[in-house]
Amino acid sequence: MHKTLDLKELEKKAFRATFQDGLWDILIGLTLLLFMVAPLYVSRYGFGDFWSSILMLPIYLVAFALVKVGKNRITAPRLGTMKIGEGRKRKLKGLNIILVLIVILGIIAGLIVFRHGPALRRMNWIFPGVICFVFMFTFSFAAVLLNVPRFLFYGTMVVILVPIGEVLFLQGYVAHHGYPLVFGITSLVIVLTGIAHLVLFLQKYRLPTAEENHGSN
Amino acid sequence: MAVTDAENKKIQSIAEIDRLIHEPARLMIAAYLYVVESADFLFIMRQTGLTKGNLSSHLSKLEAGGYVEIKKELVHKIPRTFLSLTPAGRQAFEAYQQSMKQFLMDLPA
Repeated sequence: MHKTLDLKELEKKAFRATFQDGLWDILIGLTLLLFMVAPLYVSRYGFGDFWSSILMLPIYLVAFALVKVGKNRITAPRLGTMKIGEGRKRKLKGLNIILVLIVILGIIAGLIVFRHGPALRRMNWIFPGVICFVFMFTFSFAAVLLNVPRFLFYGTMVVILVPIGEVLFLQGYVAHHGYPLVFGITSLVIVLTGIAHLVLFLQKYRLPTAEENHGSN
Repeated sequence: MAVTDAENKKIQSIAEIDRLIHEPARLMIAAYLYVVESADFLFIMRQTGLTKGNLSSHLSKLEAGGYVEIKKELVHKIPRTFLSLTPAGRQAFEAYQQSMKQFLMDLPA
């Protein structure tokens, strides 16, 4: 048997272990659910796009808080905890900068749409194109920097489903560019993937005894 | 083919290898602690697949050698043991890596 000690792989393995519980997948899925529910608010209660998104924020914050609690109460007692090394910290800082830039670009795009809405709305494929690019870019970066390949699958799913939603919208089968359908399916798949990972995680890692937590040193 | 004195010396350098790190289980523990800032006992136990007793015993040796720092804290009222490599431990691990690489390169073909 020949095994080499690859420190990079070892670091990836240790870091990836913290994503085994599927909790981040569940949070991502719930976040995408906002894209499904917000347009429904628009049509049902007459809120604008902006206020619909704002109204959904508390739900997102609750979901985020639940994931944090889950990490502390479910993951840490079963898997243990670790603090990432310097190299990984740098990578995550890079990812954060990219996410902030994407949010800023999103705000700028939103302002442009706000000012030139009617003209831009006639160009049907601009919005789906931007959405596909933003999601693919974000998920790809996350997949590479976090070493979680399934995030790439999530990005690909959005890129495939958004144009389908747009086609259905243009043919009059669905409302709101098909967002409720597209993001409903996407968030369902991602949340289910997260739940599957969580179940596997709970099966793999039983709750250790106090002695195991403590060691005997 | 006869081995020259110089080659002999290079081969003998393996005797100077740091035995505290060289043991496979300790090497694995040190490697994990090298790539992270710190980790708790349970995390290292899960990652290495070592038993509680085995991990404890190897950690004691690494701690005695000044390579690992062990801190005990209460997290949500549960006692937890946090581990990290000391600067001396990091240095020793890097030196071990270097000397093993060198030794393997110096081996006569």
